[in-house]
Amino acid sequence: MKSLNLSILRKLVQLAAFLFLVYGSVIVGYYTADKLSVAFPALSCAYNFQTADYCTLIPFQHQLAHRLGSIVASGGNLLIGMLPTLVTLGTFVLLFIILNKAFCGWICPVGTFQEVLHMLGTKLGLRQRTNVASGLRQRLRPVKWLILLFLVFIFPLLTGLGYFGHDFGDPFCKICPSRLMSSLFSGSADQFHVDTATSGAMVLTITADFLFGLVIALSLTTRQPFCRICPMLALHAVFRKLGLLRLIKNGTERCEKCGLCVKACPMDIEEIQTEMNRRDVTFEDCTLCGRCVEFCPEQGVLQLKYVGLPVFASDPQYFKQRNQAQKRWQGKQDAS
Amino acid sequence: MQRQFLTWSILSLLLLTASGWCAEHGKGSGREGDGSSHRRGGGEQRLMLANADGASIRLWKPDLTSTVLEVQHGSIAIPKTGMDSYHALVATRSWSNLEETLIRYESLRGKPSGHSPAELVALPKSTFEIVPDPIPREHYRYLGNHSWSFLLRFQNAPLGDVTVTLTTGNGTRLEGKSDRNGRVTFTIPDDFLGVMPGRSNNKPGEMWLTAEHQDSGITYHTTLSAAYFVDPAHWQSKSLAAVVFAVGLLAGGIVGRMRKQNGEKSA
Repeated sequence: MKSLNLSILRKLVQLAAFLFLVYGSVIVGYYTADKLSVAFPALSCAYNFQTADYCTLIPFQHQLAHRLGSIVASGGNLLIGMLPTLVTLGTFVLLFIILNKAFCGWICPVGTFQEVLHMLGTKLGLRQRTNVASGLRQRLRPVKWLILLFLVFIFPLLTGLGYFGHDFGDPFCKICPSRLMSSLFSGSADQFHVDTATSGAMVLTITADFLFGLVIALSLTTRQPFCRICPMLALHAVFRKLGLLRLIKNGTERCEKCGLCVKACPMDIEEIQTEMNRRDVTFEDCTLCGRCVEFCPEQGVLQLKYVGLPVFASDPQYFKQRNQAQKRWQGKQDAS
Repeated sequence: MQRQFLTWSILSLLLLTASGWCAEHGKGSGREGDGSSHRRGGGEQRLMLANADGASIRLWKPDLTSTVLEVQHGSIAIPKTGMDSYHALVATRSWSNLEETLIRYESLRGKPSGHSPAELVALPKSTFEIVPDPIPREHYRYLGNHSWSFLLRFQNAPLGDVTVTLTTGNGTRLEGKSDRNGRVTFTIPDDFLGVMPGRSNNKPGEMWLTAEHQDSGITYHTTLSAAYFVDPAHWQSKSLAAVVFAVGLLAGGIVGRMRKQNGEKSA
């Protein structure tokens, strides 16, 4: 098919993943979805009635709050307390080895949601042509690590130890846009509320509703706004050396003057262009979407490799066709 | 003489007292109780069964094996099964031309059983029974003002046009009639008094769905008992959420506009 390119292929995969993760129980069955979520934690939302699966961040928080924390507090066996968390980590790593960070760029329903909004913003003329400013990007980068550290691990653990109320047993889920997005998409407004029961619940739910609105509005103008602070991206970054899929660069002198890869990158990763020594350029913010490879005009400079085997490489001919397709889509001269 | 049907009012009370203890115990150590503990007990539980003369009680596990539970001095002990997910407690009794059944589904803690609760629900556990359709999944429960469906099943086939009564420990009585597919839907009453903000601050109530059917001179009486919870809408505001969401949208719009202006300047 002449019009099929990597971006279209990726969007088809994203659509299928979105349908499965948000409406999955319709496909696999109401209770099977529950069993799947126990056996294989992956990204979706446990707050969504229709979901097929879990976000791996939910079991992490719950196991720390309800299992490890309480066992530590009662002086129990630490290893037994950690076992569920280690099992969750194991299933996460198993999935991660297969997909690496491509999970973010190809499967995550929140990522898909933001991309669709951005496409809408492009058509409405709201999209900003300039990348997010370098200084702001640098300041934002630690946020995802702080969220992972505090909201996914430390607060739930402290809740289990008795220092916080149960509202902080899964604080990231309480503010996560996926909880609102996926439940609203499945026709339930139950999660869309401000909880006034406790001050903690109120702060968390207000943050969630505000963040959801903010992400929607920002997605119309800016690429992947929530991904930049998502703790899932940080968790992926920890294990990125284990993944079988990698972004590989064979830099040339022309890279310094080009910069089309950075312009194409939805996460605005400048290092893809500037890094000239390392071959593995799967940076911590990379979602392995492959757009940089698509928009690299040099033969084989950027490649997606699986277990060392090239699965997709930059190519001047492909670049021309892709660039033309992009211009047709945008109706403008901007190639990114 | 009025018939004394099997009831699990005392059983339910003890079950919930046992799980409620976890919540209270948690508070004592500085934690607030986890609402899920209302549904998921881990240890052995002793419980009482009212009007239990002549009743046999069976505990069905998620893997569809079952154990007969002995009634001793009017109480029974639910043993640890080591399996996660829903178990079914089924009490049955026959009195000449009356056959009665009392069923309760409880989610217990343990290792993953590898079986879907659908198998347990689909398994015929008595001649006439009321089946949750579906059972609330994890993170869900019977909430006041929320609609839930149930199936009437007689001799493993849907039974339509039968009156089903829903009564609650808080005094509400509702009636519904099963459709031709045997399905009846109720909006769970939100009939709690003195509601406090927060799920863990409100004890769950008990509800009983009962139905009666006659066939070949035998009267079949069945009851499904379950816990139900206060509608969280008491302390959750959607209108306030809409305002906060709108503020978020506005903030995102302003940031986008600022970026556009900065971008035009730099261009």
